[in-house]
Amino acid sequence: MNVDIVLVEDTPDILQNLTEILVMENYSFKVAGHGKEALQVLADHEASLIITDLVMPEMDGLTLVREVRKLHAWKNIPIIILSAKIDPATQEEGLQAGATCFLKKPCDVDLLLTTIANLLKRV
Amino acid sequence: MNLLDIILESIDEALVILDPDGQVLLFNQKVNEIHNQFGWTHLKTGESIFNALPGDAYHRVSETLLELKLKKNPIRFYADRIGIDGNRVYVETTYMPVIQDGVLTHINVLIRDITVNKVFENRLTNIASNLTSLIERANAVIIGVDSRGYITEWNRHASDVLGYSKNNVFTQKLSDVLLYPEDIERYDQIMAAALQNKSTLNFELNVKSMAGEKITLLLSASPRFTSANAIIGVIFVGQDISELISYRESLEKVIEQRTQELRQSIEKEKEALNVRARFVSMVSHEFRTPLASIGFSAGYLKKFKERLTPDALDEKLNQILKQVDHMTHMMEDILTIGKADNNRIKTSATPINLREYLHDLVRQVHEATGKTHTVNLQIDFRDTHLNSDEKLLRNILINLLTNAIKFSPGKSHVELQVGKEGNAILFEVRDYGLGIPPDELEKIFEPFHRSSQVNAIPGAGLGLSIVKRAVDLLKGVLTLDSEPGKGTTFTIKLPLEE
Repeated sequence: MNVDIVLVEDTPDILQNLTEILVMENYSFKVAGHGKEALQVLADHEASLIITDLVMPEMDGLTLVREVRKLHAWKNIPIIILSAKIDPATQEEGLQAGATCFLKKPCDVDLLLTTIANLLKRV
Repeated sequence: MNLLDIILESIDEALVILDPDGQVLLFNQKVNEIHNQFGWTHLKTGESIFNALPGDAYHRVSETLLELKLKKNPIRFYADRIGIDGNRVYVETTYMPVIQDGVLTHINVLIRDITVNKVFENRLTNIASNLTSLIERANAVIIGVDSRGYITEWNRHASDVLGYSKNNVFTQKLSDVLLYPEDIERYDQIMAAALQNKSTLNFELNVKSMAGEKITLLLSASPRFTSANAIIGVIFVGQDISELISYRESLEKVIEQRTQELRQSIEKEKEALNVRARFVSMVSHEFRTPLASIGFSAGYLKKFKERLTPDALDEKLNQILKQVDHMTHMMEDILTIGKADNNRIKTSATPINLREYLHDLVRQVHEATGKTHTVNLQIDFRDTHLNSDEKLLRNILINLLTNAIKFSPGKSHVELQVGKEGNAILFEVRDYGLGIPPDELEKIFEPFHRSSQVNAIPGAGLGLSIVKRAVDLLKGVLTLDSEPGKGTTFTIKLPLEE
């Protein structure tokens, strides 16, 4: 099944915020509570974009990004890291691991939506 | 002068030859020189010797003559007398009997002025005596040994310090009398070095006193020389530093103790700083989520407010308010923990009407938790009143009861049992819910800990931290018993005032 976005976030409140926003913009999406779950979702669905948090149980965001990039099918899928951890070192690490861009939590809603739109357009 | 005269005058000594009765037969000039020194009359050949002698010498000379006649053996004696110039003169007089055919024919008297020798001898004796006195009276331990280690010198101070008198130690080996077995090797090395003309300065040596005590001496060992510069022994000079040593040892002990204490203090401080740092880090992490949520919610409202129904708008605003509420509660709890940790919470005990208090409390919890569970209250306590801090106790019980309800979703009730055990009151809060896994039992009282089983159950995770501190403040004991899947019981035991 095709979805636009796979959303990976373990905090229920934040998840609710994000899904509400995505719903308003009519994006289709699937959610996962941690990296391992996300890989499963990706395997079962065709997705065009991944939005992931960094700090999660079971498998954290950075590991998820690396695992995704390892697989040929997902080498080019855009990945947004959406995290409260915004120090330069972490950003560097994230981009090195293969993420497409880094957004701070909480970010401006317009910024988030514009970024998503641009990345999906490229695909 | 004839040959005899030449010989007589050339000899060193003064010579008088007498007949057995004391008549002067022959003499040399040196005799008269001696007489000059004393102001005595000169000798005259053919006259009695007694004519030239002072009265006090008669007795001796006549006795000598008598003895010579009888025993016919040489007699030598020493005398000293003050000369006319006021100086003392020492004289050695030798009477040599000359015997021919068994008969005493005459007596050769040889007189030697041995003043120089004597003066020198006296000076030496004085020096020796002074030195001996010096050594004897010195305020230092002075022990001398010969090259084999036998004690040859032992001064008064040595006796005072070590107990042995000179008599005790002379002719004994120093190592036998004074040393402990473990020190003998080093002593032997020092002895050997000194005998090789290498002194050892300021070394510590433990010795045994006569009373068996251990005395620590600070010694210097140097070789003893003969006048010909040959080394004949070793002399040890030093002092008793036992007191200093024991003072030093007790100082060292104190220093070690203080260092230990300091080290422990520093460790404690470091740990405290660590704990605080972790807490700060946890707190900021905990606030980040509600703040992020508020951020997104407000952003969502800004962007989509025209498209929202009034109800949807309202709901979103309520979500924001809930987050604010959550943060406010967390902040208050954190402040409480902070105050408790800084000992700034004062407990005050007032008499609490147990039945009223507990029923009220139970009702409060029941309503606050949405009336999902009944709280069964059982009081098995004879006294109507309890003296305790009403607020703290309420905090404890409400927290535990709320948790009990939260962690037994789907169950119908929780229990609060109050009883007495010895001199303490017991509160037991029991639920029949999820229970706590054994590996989490220790961690549940840590700030912000959330059970691994209950991702969906909201809460800051500070309740139990506060409960623990509150129980400590009430000088009580908190224990818990839990079985995953069966339930959990928290027990608070508070001491009753006498």
